[in-house]
Amino acid sequence: MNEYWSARVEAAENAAKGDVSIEDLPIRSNETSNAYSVRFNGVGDYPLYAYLHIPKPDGPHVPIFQVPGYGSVVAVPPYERRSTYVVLALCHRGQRLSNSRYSAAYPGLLTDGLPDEDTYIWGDIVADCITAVQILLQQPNIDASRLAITGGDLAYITAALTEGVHALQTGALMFADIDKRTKGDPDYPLAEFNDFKRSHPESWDEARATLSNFDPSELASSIDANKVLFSTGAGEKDYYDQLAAKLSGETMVNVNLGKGHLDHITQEDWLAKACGVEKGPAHYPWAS
Amino acid sequence: MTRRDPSDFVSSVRKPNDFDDYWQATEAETLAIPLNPRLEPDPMRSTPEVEVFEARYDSYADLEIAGWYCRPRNFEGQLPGYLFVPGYVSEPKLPTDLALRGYAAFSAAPRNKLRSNSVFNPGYPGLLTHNINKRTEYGYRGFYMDAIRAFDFLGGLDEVDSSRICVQGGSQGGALTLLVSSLRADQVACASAGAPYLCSMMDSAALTRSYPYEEINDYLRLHPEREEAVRDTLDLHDIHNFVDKIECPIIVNIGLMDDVCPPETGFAVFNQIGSEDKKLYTYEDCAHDSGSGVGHDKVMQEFIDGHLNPVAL
Repeated sequence: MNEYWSARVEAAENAAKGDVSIEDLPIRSNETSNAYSVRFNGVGDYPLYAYLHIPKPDGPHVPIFQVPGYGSVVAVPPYERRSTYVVLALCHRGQRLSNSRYSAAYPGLLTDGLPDEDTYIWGDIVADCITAVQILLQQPNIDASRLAITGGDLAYITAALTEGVHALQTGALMFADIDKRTKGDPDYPLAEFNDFKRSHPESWDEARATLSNFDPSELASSIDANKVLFSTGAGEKDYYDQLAAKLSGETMVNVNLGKGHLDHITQEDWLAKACGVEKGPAHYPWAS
Repeated sequence: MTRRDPSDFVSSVRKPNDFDDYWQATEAETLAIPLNPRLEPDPMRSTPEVEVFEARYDSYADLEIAGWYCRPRNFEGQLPGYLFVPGYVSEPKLPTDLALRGYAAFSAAPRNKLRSNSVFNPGYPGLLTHNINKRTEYGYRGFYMDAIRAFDFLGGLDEVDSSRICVQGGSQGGALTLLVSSLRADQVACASAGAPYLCSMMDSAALTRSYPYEEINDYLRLHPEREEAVRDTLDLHDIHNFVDKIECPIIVNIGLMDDVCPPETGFAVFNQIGSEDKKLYTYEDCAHDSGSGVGHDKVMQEFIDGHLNPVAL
């Protein structure tokens, strides 16, 4: 772990030692799981919110940290996960429910605070994730030895900066191979990097150095998850094969079929097997 | 469990007696508010090929609504218009790609979306059940009008050929596509609706445990005594009840394993569409992606370009 991250991880782990409020959330509880609102402060005393879902049967249960995606809304975890795992779904700073002091813009968040590494917002966002994982691990009735993290870049980076992760399910990494993937006219959010380059050409070198802190290749040696699944499109398989070769755990690169139902089943089956649990009931009766 | 053929599904949606009166009154109330369209250039998002603008207009209950407007920098004559309407939780896209294809493109951010949520902000989850037991105060009443006024905004721009405007979106965007095509039936040139949401809403909540429809199940778990009131409100706002008015060429795509917007309700709403020039694309083993990963985007692009003849940059 480099200096950039070591200071942030220490601050994030210290933040997890602060007060945590956990309140019943009856509207999102159901016949299989109970829901809770979790409130705590991230680094800089920033107020954060997370959903916590705990299956009704006694545990211990596998804990999943469900990392937020790139957008203002954090979804309630899916029915099948809530039924089986203890799931914490964080709203990082700037997302809805964690936006009392800062609201993220889309597009805009991906380059907010560049070029300086001390002001780039993603350093604090990653810290929010690290704090949230520690709070998940404080919960009773979990089997911490089977901690799973799922999601995109923030899942990957959080896994790199957290000890004792058992399973990591990730893919579609925005910070991967930036120079190559921003050539031409990429879609948003990647296009945000080109917007920044065009508007601040003199700052791009510094920005690029800041972004290298988030580069999956640079962080690969820190990933010690026992099991890793990368889900990717066919066009990026080579990149993920090379990334997988740098990881120490049992790693699988799965090329999505582009058929959402089948790809979803592949991912959830992998997660259940990796964590040694029976998959939960399908949220759509025909989707088992 | 043996699955019935989803194409055999019969919707339980009822059309309230006051449905047409309610929507005529709602639209009249909305049109009484001046649209007040504003465009502000956004230099950071603009490129050598495409100009990007932040758009604002006024809508139902005097709320200010935002959007993105993109157009090619260099064009001659008038451009075909492309209205993109957003999904439930996703951010409205910045449609530079559509401008590169030769369209004047508007991407609407109806109330509750970022930049349109300073007054009305029930959140996600939240929007689907906001005032769901109060039929005339339901959150989607104004939300629907925001989509209608987005179409009016685009059609009112000098550089847009008002006889060549399409509407397109997926999920909630699919629902809004059907809505705009219904309430602007004489103006929409063609439309493409993916995995339409807000169709047969009570049936959908019974068919799936996925959000957003799970919001209805959550609500009724806490308030079971309100089921009839909820059904009444939803019938009054169900897209299923609008689409017999659609006249334009239209395509609809659904995933046959869609847990978010069950395909049963997609078949039902497609059958209800009034246009004779309509085509349904179904995709095996697809979920809410509804074919986008196996080539439907190309189908959609060819369909829309074929009707509107844009000149790509």
